[in-house]
Amino acid sequence: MMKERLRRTMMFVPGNNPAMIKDAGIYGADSIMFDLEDAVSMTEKDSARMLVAQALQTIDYSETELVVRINDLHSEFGRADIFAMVKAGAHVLRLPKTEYPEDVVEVEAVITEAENYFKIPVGTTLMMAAIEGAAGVLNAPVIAKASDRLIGIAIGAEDYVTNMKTKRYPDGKELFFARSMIVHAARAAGISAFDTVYSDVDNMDGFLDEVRLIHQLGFDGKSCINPRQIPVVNSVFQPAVKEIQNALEVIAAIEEAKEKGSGVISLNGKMIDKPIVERAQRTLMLAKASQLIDEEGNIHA
Amino acid sequence: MFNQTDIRQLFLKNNYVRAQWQALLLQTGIEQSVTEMYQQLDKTLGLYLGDELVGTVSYQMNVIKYIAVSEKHKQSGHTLNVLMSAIIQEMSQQGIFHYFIFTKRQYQKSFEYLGFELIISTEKIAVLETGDWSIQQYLATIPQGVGEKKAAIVMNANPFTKGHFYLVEQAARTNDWVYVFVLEKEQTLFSTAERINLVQQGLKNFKNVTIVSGGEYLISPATFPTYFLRKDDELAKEQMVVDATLFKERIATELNITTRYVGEEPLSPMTSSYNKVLKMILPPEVAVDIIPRKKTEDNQVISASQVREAFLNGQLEKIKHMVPETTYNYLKSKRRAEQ
Amino acid sequence: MKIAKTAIAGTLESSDVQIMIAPNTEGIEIDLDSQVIEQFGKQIKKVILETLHAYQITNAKIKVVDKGALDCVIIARLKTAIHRSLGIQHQETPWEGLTK
Repeated sequence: MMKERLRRTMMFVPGNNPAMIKDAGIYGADSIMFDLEDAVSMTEKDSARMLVAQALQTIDYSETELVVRINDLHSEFGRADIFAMVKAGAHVLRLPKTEYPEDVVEVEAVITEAENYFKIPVGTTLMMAAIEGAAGVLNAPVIAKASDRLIGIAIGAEDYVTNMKTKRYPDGKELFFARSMIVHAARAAGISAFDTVYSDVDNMDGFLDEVRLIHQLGFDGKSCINPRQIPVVNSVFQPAVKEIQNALEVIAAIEEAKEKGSGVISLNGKMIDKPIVERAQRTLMLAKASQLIDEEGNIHA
Repeated sequence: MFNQTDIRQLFLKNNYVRAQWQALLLQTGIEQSVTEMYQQLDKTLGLYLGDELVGTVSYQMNVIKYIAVSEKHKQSGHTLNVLMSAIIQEMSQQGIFHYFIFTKRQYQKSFEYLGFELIISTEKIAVLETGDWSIQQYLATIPQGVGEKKAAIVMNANPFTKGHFYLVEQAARTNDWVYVFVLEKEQTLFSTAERINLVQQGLKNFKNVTIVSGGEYLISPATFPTYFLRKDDELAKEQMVVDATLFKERIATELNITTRYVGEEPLSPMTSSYNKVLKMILPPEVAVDIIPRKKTEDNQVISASQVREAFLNGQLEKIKHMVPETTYNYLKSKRRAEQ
Repeated sequence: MKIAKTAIAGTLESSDVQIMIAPNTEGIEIDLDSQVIEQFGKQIKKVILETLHAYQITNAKIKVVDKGALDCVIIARLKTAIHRSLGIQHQETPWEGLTK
């Protein structure tokens, strides 16, 4: 699976629930995260593992990215989870409660072992790290650089606030530092940043506020626990018409420069460097996903 | 995650939790007095929607009981499925793979829908089971006797006495075949294996007697738990009706039993009630013959509890005349082995 | 492989299936309880037999309570029950030696 792709919404699905697993693909999330960890009781870990593995190999989720949250490597379930999910073809494995870069390195080693065992090209399975405590937040910059397989890091608020001896509040001030660290660490490492779940599914206003906030901070996406949350996230991440127009201009400038064979690209007197190009590409990706532009580049706002 | 319900263990020793639990059970018509038995439950689970307890289920040995779903969640049946799945998972963790349910008659279909099979139903109650054993399998283990007139005796035989022998003797004289069912419950002093063994030894000279374990279907901790508490209240009476109905409709019919013999019970009100229930339920298909207790030469009633007491006090001589030689020799050797 | 211990997996919730596997001496016996037994009974049994075959299990009692499960769910629950029966549910490759 691609490292670069839209990951605006990551839909949490409990790993031991066949009804939710079979329907997970219809809600339009960019990614589905099958949870083998906190959503599954200790005595059912094996059940969930087999169910998700079987579903991954059988059910057609079309273009959706398939992420699996595995159990801690040091629990009795972690290794079996990794082997089963590598074999089943999960695109990304999500590590829970990452505190040190070594956590990432250790898991990567087992993934490599599994890929070799099943004769899958090494590097096929990607990773993401969830940070759920103070140590992890402070180590976020090195965690984010700990492996080439990492596509992103996420903040897991529930465990984090417990670790911090506080709780979640509507205005989210208690998460400000953690969110900032995660976003900075992700940017510095060139990977994505993901925000935490919003559990009050009936409070759509509160949810919208939170999505706007994290979008403003620069997060690439958010975890969702209810299908109703998905369109809300997509609408917030949708680029404005002006942004789309600018992006199209950037791309046009690049193509023209290519045709003319000139090395430096400029638009309206300003140099276009890599960050600007990436932002333009990202904007167009978002626009296409929101169906705001078509294949020919016509804007439908 | 969509529904935000979660299953938690209910610690009923905690007053607050127990009050919530009893309130829910009361909603579904299970009275307070019944729920006072909560200490005997092996585990209780509660289904919460936020902070509200909307469903509960418990188990005791291999019997699932005290199932309740709050009114507004009853419709879909989903809550019941979740509760039943959870309790079965708990029980299977303990190595229990055969499950009984006692429920109100009107819920029989709900459980059949979950794969349970009906054993019997009375006016008020339905008894169902599922898992790796069934009453059909139990009945298949009992050899068919020979002849037309068949009798049955259900005994605890703790231990086997001359009184028991006499009862079998009476039945064997006037019937072609006699089934002796020995209760399968581990009790103090003599294990099920020991008790059955003594019965077999004591009756070895009879050619028309089959000795069978009562299994989980005859006065077992599953079907009749209060028997062993020797209570004689409303709840016990309900269980007696269940036990008698099960015997009549599933066991007597399968084995073509026409008479059930019981010993008269002057000393125990509970057993006296039980005999009355048998007399109410079993006829006309199965006759109930209450045989007066065999007495010793000096007019004493032969009682297994006296035998047990003498055994414990090392005074076996006192009860020698109450038991057959086979039992007496065993008691002596067991006593010696435990010195 | 020999089934010597009873095990159970799955739930009675919608779209799921509860499967109990127990020792047997008379080959494979499947007891199926399903609302769609007429339309899908054959398919359900086929999927179960194929899975048992892959594990080379020739003697077992299988009790199935189906609540509308997809084939992949039936396979997953049956495999879980088999692994639990064999005590191998947390090994990395419990399906070692199988072709699938």
